[in-house]
Amino acid sequence: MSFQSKPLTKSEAMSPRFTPELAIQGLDPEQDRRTFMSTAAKSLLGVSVAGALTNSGMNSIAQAAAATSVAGKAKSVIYLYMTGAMSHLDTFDPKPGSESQGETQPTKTRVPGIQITDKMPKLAYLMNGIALVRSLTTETGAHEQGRYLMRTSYKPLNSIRHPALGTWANHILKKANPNLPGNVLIGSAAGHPAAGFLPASIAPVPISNPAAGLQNSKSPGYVDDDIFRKRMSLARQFDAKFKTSVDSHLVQAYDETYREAVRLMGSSELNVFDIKQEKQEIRDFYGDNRFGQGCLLARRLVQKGVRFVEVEYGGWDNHNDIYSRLPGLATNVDNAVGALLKDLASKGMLDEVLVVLATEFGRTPKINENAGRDHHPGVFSGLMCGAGIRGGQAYGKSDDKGHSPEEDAVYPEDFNATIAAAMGLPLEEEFFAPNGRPFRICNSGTPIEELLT
Amino acid sequence: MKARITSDLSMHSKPFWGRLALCTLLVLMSTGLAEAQSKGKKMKSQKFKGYGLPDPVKTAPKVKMRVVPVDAERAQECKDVAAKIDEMVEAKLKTQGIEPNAMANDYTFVRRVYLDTVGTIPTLIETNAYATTKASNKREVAVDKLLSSPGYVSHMYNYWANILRVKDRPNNNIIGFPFRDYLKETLRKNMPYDKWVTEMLTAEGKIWDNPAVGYTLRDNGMPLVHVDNTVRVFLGTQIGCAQCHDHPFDKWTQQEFYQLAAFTHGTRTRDGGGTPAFENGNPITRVRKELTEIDDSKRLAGSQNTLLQANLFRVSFNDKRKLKLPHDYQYDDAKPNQLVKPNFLWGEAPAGAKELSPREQYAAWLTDSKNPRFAKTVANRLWKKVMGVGLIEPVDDITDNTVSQNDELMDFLTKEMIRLKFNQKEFIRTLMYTRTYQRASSDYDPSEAEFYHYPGPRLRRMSAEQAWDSILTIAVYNPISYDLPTTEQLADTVNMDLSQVSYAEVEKKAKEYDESVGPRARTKIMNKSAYQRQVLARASELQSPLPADHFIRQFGQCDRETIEGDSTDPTVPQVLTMFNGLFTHMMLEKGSVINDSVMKSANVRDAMNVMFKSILNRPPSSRDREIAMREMTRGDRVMGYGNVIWALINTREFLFIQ
Repeated sequence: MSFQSKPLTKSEAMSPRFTPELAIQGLDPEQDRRTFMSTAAKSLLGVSVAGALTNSGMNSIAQAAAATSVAGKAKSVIYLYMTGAMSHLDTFDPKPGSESQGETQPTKTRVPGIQITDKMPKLAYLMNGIALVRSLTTETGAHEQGRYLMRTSYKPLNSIRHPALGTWANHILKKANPNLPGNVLIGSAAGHPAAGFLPASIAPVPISNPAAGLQNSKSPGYVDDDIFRKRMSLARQFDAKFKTSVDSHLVQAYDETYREAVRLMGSSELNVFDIKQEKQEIRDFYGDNRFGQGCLLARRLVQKGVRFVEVEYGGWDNHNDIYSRLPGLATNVDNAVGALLKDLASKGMLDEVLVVLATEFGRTPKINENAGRDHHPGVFSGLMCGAGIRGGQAYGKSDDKGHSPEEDAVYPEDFNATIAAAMGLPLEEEFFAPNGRPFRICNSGTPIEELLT
Repeated sequence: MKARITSDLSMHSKPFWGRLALCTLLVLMSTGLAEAQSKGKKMKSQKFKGYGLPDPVKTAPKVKMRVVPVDAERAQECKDVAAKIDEMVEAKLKTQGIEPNAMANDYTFVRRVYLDTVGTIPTLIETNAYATTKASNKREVAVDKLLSSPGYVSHMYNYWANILRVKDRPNNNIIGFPFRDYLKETLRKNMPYDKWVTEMLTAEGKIWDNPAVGYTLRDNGMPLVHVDNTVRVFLGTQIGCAQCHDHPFDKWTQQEFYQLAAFTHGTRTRDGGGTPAFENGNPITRVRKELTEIDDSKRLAGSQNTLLQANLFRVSFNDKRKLKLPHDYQYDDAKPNQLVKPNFLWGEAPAGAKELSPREQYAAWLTDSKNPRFAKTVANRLWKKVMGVGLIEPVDDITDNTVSQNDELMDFLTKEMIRLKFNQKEFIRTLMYTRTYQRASSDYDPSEAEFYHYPGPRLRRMSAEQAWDSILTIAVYNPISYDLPTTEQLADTVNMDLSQVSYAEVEKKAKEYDESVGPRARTKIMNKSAYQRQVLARASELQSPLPADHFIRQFGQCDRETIEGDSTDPTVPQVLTMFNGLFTHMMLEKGSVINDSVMKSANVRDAMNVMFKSILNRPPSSRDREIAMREMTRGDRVMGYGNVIWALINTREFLFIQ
């Protein structure tokens, strides 16, 4: 099994609790790993762990990883984005006994002193491997601006579009698997900063419905390769005059995207987008909803070496009647993320894959007259788990009401810098946009040392 | 000559079905094809045959919407104003040392003006008609005709729906359809913009009685966010940050935000205790109880609940409700929880408005021609719509320090908007009369952080709706082939007096709702025009928001959650759809517009011209001709036709508006 044969680093050896795989599997270091994996993981996942660990997917990701020289521990990131601003108070930072509590009941986790909502028992159980960040803070309470900041580390400007973190990762680390896109967004592309000023060819490929996968990726049966090539050649020739008469960034971006699409159509690994190839019990385990299936697709993609997969999950903008909607969302997140972490762990992939959960801001401690919570950029929560991250902790602290950070305020750019550091991206380096202006991957963000292994 | 093609086509029926399928569509329609098909059927597999276009889209509509036309008397005046605008643009260009572009040629212009007014490329016939007209004022004539046609309503609906985040169901219990119809109706009537905005800001009642309330209902339950959105959309000003604290980048304080919000705080979107609906107690509880008394095991069904709830959504205004500062108000100028007195962000209510209710005062102030940002914002928005870049960018973040590209012009356009009494159509018409608009386009990359100086309009990618509607233009004769239930029909079916309503009435109405006017009934009507489950109708007639994997969403239509959340960025799935999507088959089906046109062609050369003019709205260049002719005459002709059409759709030229 992969992690057994791997030598432990010094810190791992000193505190085995922080080995993400061990922690996630809920193992005490003393406990016999083999026993746990053949019973607990099997019953949880319905698969034979030995099979999962020896499948060819693992070999190919290991080979792919070996082929690139990545300094960071995280070869891939699964970035879960809670669109609409997830209430911190009703998920990862409950305030039992305070006015802010609302109807949410806390539950203990396996890390002493850390409580989260009782709608997330699986994540509570896995808390040994998870790092919560409870002191995120930003200035903007507007969705679009908040999302943009969270994804790019920059405030939106009219004159330039900054790349999202996944685009940076692909720009620096390049693809690990030449047959697949390096950057995938399971959700909607509209409003996403995407490639920013970097080449459109590394913009995330949006998959709007994970159950349907990548649609239209095959030519109809009657168009063989020769005919397709001929058609492309015709289009290129008809287009020549237009393309030489305009000098347009957007037209060039379309050219790049056409080339990328052609490459993808020729890929031998397109079936990675088809989650129907998973057993029904695995699909059920992730949850029969868009987010659960999205997480499963994300796992399939990183298994094949895709660098960055974002999974969007909307519905968190609970201005009204928050307790009719939010508990269901929290349960879906618990099932999906719980399954994802277990699945990655059982496949030995948590050493190389970092899972992040983020949102644009938090929600007001006060419940409004419509039984909802409004926008609250003052403080909010995020989560990290896996490669490069020290689990079993809640970093930062909000005040008693959950209104402002009390300790260790974390700005979106610091949060992102921590992800980037886990991936080994050069945070200090300046990159020049086409307009000649210099930008850094995470603006002036600093990685949070306490979160990193 | 037609016979020649037919016989050529039937040759290809022989070899094998797959090969035939390749060009199915072209092939199937020709008369020789019946034979081809029957031969094909003898083959072992029928891997692919045309799916068949739905009947309703195959014939042109007989009755067309009557749209209030441009003012024929104003043509000269428009020209004069347009000339003044050109002077200002050209003076600015001169200071920058930039030469204006040459005038766009007729083909470029006709494609652009159709897309910019009616939201689609012109048909083959329209392209030819325009190109062969000799009149010296043909551009103005075309602008006038298009702005007076039904396509204008559809296109402008898309434009405003993107800004107003129009949804069929703002929440599960609000029926949003009447607002969509209302929006189209105001555009059809060319209602003055200031009157329209006032109507939306002051409307009261249920949505089927007064559909303008849909504007307020869109942000139901979020009164402060609604104020932020309103000021952003109609005054181009972002005060949202000040909802929680003093604005970090602009001058607005939290106190000022609350003072403005205080005008509309008495707005109620849903009936509750104390309203007539509750005269005999909570009507929903009462009906539920009645039902359990009839049958203990029964609960209200989905649409029964929806209808009861929908009847609760009634916009009303109660002056007695006062706004308080938040409990955590942190500044020295007031105390937490203190009552807030209404006050405007700037200026005051117009004379004559002071006696009105606070909500009406707010609307009067906001839409006043003297409000310095109201006319300016819409003038700048529409300038951007026509030219591709705003004089002020972004159009909805104006501050005291905002610099426009051309102050003199911005000022002039603002005054012109007021002089035209906020006549949207005449304003657009004037801009389209300018040389500036009629020149060749230029690319503009905003990341260069420089102003665009308007040597011509900006080169743009089609909007998602324009791309979809253009593909429909190539394929179907009738892109609005169904009538959905009207607001009046909806009102008759769903309206009830909640204070008196009985379970029996709810049951009956819910049944009617499902059968005749509700979402299920609408879907049934729309599906008669569906091709492989895709409804072939203009974007403005489809559901809102569309599912994320719909062609229109793929090409960047907003999810209707954020203001102008649309995008024109490329994505891989877009390209895959252009390569392999259903639409490449659809446009070649028997009875499609382009298929019919190609088949009517006298010879291969004509067919080629038809393809270029139908898709790119221009004749082929000599080089194009050489390439296309080679493709269509060498080897399998039918296959060649299919390949050329596919290739033309897959050019960047198709997707861009020059």
